[in-house]
Amino acid sequence: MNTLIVPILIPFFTATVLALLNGRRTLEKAVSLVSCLGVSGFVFWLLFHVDGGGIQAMKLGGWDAPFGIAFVADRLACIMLCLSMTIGTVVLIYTFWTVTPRQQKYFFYPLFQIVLLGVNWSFLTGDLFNLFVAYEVMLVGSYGMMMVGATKAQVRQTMKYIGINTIGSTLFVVGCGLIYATVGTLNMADLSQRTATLSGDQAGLVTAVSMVLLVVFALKTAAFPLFFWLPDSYPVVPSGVVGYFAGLLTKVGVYSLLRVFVMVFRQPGAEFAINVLLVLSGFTMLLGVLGAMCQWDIRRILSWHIISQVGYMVMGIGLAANASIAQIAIAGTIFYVVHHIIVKSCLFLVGGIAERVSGSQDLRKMGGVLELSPAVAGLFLVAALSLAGMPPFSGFLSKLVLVRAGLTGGNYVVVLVAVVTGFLTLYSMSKIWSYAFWRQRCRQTAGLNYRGMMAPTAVLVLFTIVMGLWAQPFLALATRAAGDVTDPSQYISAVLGPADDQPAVTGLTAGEPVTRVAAAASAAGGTDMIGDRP
Amino acid sequence: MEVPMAIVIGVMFAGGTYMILRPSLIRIVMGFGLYSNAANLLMITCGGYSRARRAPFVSEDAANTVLASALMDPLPPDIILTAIVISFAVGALFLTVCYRVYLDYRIDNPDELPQDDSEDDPSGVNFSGVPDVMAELAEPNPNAPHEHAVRAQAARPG
Repeated sequence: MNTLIVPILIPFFTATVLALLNGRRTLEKAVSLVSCLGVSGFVFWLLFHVDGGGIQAMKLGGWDAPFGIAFVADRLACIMLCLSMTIGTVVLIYTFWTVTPRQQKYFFYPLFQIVLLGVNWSFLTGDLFNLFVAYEVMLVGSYGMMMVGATKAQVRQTMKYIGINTIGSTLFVVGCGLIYATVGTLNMADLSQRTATLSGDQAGLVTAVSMVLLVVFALKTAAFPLFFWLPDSYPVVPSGVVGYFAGLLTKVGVYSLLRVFVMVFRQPGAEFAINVLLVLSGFTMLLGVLGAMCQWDIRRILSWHIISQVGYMVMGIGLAANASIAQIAIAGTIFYVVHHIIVKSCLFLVGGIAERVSGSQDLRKMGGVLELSPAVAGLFLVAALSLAGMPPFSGFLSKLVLVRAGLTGGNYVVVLVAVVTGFLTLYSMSKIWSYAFWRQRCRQTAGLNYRGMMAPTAVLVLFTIVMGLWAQPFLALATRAAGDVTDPSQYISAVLGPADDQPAVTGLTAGEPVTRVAAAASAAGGTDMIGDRP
Repeated sequence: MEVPMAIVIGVMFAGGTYMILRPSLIRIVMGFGLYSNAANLLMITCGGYSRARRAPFVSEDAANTVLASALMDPLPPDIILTAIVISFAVGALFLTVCYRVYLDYRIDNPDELPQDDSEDDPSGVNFSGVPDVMAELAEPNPNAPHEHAVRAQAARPG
């Protein structure tokens, strides 16, 4: 299906056009809105198409799958694409009220499209090295976005963020190289197929090499002990866009962990990585929420909560080591990702409105938002209770699924940590509530115009209520998506063709992958071998 | 070929780590440069580089076909090409950002940078023109009537 590349191409062209339109402020907003709405429509159509008609794959340039680059849309990728574009569109509309002329002059909207491009790309790609390229595109966009307007604090924090992520990228290249040397392919479907047949020393080697990728993805996910960069860097992202960053960027890491450590690495002993993730998830949840409790800046509190919430998703992946509960645990993770992306973005957006209403982002200086604007307080209350896992919102159900999976699998310690973290999250949210919203107001009238910003935020609040009250369709979809990941046979046949149609696997040892390339080249007539990697 | 390459890569990673840990922005940038070059060398080594192998061109003429094991694997060099371009671009950006930090603070040691973000408002929201009532909260007046009392008073006719 050649249209698969639309969610990547359209943001790319839009970014180019927007860069040329620089200076025409209204036109820029209109063009990005039309583009975002169009791509959103497409990805929702794609989700229904894939859910009904099976996994879709696209071979770039007509090169067959293990040699060329494959783009694959399975249910998980489509769910993530839908979230990316929904949050992208909502945040875009929100920024119409927050963007300053100075930010717009320095390519705010083109950079936003580049971030969308990178995020969509990393969800769609079916190749490990191509995932690295997608990461880089996403990161370069986010560097620019973080620095837009270039205040001193922004530049200083972006410098740290670039440094941390450059180390991650270097390790990603190293990991790709080592995996290519040990398994002989970087195509995810092919990797999944080959690692399943490994045994003995080879399997151990692949497990060891996969640890490099674990570090890369854990860094991106902000899992313990690699979370330190996040609470510093997110508060400087421009208001509004921080909602997209908080929702999607760390979740690209969760998606990669899910894709690579559950679906791709299936050699004997692969549970080791998953067990490591389970241990890390407990620390991530607890330390994230403890970090949030001692902060006073509303953005920093919410940033620390991203870390603790990521712990829940990683916990779901960690529970998948037990094959009997793997599917429900992964389904819980996917459901949690959906819930978290919506609620976290929503909280950052409401936080931005509360900053405007009260004129500060320090809890000690905010106050009386409930009196100044009851509607904003209502939006915050729903999102905060949902984040803490109170029924009837989506947070309760997503935690319920994970806790049940944990209890069934006998992982009592991590379940205890998860429940305690839920309580502490509630404490932290009530701290924001009682300081910023419930307290005596600290100014006479609400500052600045904020009412327009409430409409996009309300859409997200509505999502979390609907997901809580009418959860069955979402959970069923998440379970089907989890089935695709835990049993990759459909994914493999969608990318590589039916099992009897695939070229024979000839070399599995280091230095021998070339055998396969040449065999296929001579089978295809042997012409035009100058292929282009990304 | 693998043993000398492994030594070179190890030395480059060690050198890069040493440079990144130096308290100087320019050395940190150079350390990242060493890192990415070491990663690229590792990729070459993983591709099974050997002088005995030919460049991977396959002749159309069936008689000229060479054994696959006599050809270089073309994939790692392609991957490195991409990785070089990316690391060059990110390196240039990183250097620019470091220079900007230097222009802002006139210091080269990242440890001396301020830790507090509150010096300038990063939210991008312009609060000028909004009356500043923060002082009221900082020094709450215990004698001031509560908001509700004020409102009730205002609502009372007469």
